[in-house]
Amino acid sequence: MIKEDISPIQSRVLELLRNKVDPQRTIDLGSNVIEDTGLDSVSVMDLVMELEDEFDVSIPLDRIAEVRTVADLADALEALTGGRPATGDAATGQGD
Amino acid sequence: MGIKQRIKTIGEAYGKLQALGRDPTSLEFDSVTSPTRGVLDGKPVMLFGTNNYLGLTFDPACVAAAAEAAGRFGAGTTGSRIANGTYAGHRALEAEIAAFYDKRAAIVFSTGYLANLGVISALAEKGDYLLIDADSHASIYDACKMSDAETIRFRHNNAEDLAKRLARLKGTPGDKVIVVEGIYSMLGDTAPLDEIAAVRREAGAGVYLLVDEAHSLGVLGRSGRGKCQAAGVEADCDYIVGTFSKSVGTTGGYCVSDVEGFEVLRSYSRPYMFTASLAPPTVATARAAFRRMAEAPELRERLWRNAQRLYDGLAKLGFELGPEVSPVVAVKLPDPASAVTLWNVLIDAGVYTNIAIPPATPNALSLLRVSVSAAHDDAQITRALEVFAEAGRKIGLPGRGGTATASRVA
Repeated sequence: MIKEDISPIQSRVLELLRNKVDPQRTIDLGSNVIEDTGLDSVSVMDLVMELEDEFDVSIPLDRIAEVRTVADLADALEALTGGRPATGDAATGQGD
Repeated sequence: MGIKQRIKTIGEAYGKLQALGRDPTSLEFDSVTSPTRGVLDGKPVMLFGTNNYLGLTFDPACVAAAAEAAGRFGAGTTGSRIANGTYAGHRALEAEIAAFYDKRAAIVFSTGYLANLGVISALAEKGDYLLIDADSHASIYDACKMSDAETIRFRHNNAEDLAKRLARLKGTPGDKVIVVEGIYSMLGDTAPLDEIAAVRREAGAGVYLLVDEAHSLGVLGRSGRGKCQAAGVEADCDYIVGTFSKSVGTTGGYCVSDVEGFEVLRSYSRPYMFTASLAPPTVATARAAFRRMAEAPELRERLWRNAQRLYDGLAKLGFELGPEVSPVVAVKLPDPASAVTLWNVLIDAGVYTNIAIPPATPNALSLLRVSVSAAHDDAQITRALEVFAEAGRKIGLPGRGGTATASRVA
């Protein structure tokens, strides 16, 4: 799953996730968002909502259910942002 | 995960809780003898975890109606309304519920769970959108899974977040159905329905609002219709779903609506079509209970008096509670183990409550769900508060180095 070039969305997802987990843990694109992060499902849902705000999208529940890895989560966001460059939108942020 | 692995994983998770005393998942009552009294493992207990808000399970009129209907119409219908036909009682019950709500039509389902499944899955199809509160009941989540529509969650009780998500869908074809609850069953908090109804109004055509009044029927509103009535927004609530298994004191569910053609659901809603219809004694009980609700508003007054007393009493003892006074008083505990321990100690002392721990709870809270009934008398509430005080002292809750306030606030 690990891609050589990390997209801006992947980079932002990794950044947010690394801020939430124990610094001892190594998180990369292949990490499982629950098993490898030590986060409970509620914290993961909170993270998803933060990302939704930031990228101004809503990820449908069935898409979230398919997410296993950090790369999957980034893919779901990539698909919904319609492949538009993420950096500008991500930088402006829509979070509260 | 295969069957064997699942059995092992679940067995281990529950094993830890069982080690602390009774198994919350397989509790057996020897008998239940009134809305507020039962016998558990040979020990008499006061029931503070039944959702029997109006205490109608033993109401003489309801019990007599059930007995009479069993004698006249039989014990069951042995099939669905599609296959075995609608009985006169089903039709009468639906007409009476529609009249109670002053809505055009009502459809009755075999349980409250099936009502959500049957209505939500039928309203939204592929290309439509379901916008649900993140803290929705399992029946709503399951209904969404059953529907081919896309499901989008919004932050609990946050009308602004809902508006933002609706705005993202602007110009997207397909109906949008907002799904919320009147009273949320875990923490007893109510939906800001005035704000949510305003969002629906502003969103315009093609946006519908469904409110599940499972825990608010008979509890809120001038005539007990629920939160929609209490908030004065019934005209904005396109679909109101409810259950007979709380205030109505039996089993079953329903949906009322003014939407033209609503009853077409009967011809394609699978949870309506492919399950046995309500048995005659259950139908008769529900009809009697709706009559009792209308003729005895004092039950609602007594319920709220009891709720206020219990909430104030527990707050005074220092327990951290749900955000508002409600017939569901949620006691927040620091972790699942302390919730199970307190729950066991309370039962030992004669008070039965419900335990709610992750993943069934919002924000991974560990809770004791204490529900009151109009049928509790003053002495029972007083005794329950004494038992909570003793149990709290016994296990060092609340106030053990602030642990009781360490849990996340909803």
